[in-house]
Amino acid sequence: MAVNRITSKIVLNSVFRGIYHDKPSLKYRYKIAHVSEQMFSNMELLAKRVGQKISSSDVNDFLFNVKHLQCIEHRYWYSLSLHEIMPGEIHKIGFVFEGRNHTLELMCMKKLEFLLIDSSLPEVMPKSSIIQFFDTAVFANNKELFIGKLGVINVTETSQVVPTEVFYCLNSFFMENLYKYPVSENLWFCYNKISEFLKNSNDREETISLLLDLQEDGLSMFVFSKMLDSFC
Amino acid sequence: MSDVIIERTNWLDSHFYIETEICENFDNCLLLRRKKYYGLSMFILETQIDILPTIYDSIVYYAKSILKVTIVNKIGFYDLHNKQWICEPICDEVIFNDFYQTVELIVDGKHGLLDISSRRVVIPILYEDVTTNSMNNYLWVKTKVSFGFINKQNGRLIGVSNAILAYDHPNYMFVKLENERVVCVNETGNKDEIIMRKQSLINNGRIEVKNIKYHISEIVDLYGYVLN
Repeated sequence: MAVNRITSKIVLNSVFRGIYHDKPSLKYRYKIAHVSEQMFSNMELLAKRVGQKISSSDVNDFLFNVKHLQCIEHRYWYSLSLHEIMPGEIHKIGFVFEGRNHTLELMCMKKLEFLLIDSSLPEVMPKSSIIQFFDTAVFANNKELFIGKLGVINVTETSQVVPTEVFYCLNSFFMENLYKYPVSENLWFCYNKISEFLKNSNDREETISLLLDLQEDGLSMFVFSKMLDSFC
Repeated sequence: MSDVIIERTNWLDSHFYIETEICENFDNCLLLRRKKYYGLSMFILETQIDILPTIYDSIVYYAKSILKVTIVNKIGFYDLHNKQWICEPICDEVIFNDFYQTVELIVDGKHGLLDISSRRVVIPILYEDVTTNSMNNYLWVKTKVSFGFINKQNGRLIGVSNAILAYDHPNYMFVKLENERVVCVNETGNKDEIIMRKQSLINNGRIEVKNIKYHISEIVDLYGYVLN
């Protein structure tokens, strides 16, 4: 039985210590405490009280997933107008530039404004760049798209980056009331808050308080984690 | 059931001379009693025309000129307005839902749904469970293996594979799949990402889906994950 949304709260409450910058991978990651035998026994007991069961391998798998948050790339073949993309959504576009295949991972921050989360062209299009598209732009295979620094590119592949269940386990611990808040139309305020937060200490309490604040803008742990990636 | 009706009809044929007693008047029709059995008739130009023979155990006015007719613990519904059966007396049990103006029909453990306002059976009595809300364009039904929807306009069944729950929605079909993800399906029973996206955009990223019968209300995001 894998760790679910109920048991993940118990696990995270015991092991979550904040956020740190992992130099080898050049990414911000969740700081997780080492799980001692005593800690695991406590988790097991707490889980039992709510009628759940957890095993050490489940906890290990879950914490591994929290450390290396993976997403699913869902390829689509339909044409998607940028007006139909919600703030917080992440799309990956593939294209040929100067004879090579490249990809850009873009997060919608507000209507027609995207933040570059990941790029295979860091010299021309570094991470955290802001990309403004024209009103008529669409994400579609074999359609032209104008991107300021690259000019007109021919999109060869489009996919949506979709969260996995582990992000929802994180939501249930950090953002329990997320369902009450609609997604904000402008995520730049959230981005600025995260930027400020990263300049200061980012231990457990500060992180939890930031996430509770971001929750009110409808920002999920998936969007938060992906935004963190853009700062690296 | 037909045996009972034949038996009662035979009884009526041999007891036709027994005078009937007028019990009530429903929309210009008379509720008659002959011994302990009830029937219905009306007068046209001073001629008495039988609508329902006096063979039924009870005839009760339900709503909007619809009568609930019982014979040997089997329940049926008769439309007084159109003078025809909506559902013949075959139901073992019926559950009235006054709020949605529907009646859930149960025969041998199979469920169906009668819609009072449209005066017809909108879901045939074939399913393990059915919605009680007939206001939507698509009415969910539970089959032996999954869930599906009945298109109210044409009565077609839209099957969805691997669904563990279906929701009541005015215009679209939402189901929860075995992987706990909520998806929107189209007329072919396949996932419809465009509708899901449009609904998400309209509701600022939070789609509320409800199953009224099971008292389930969930808020899902664009990806179909349940947030509450």
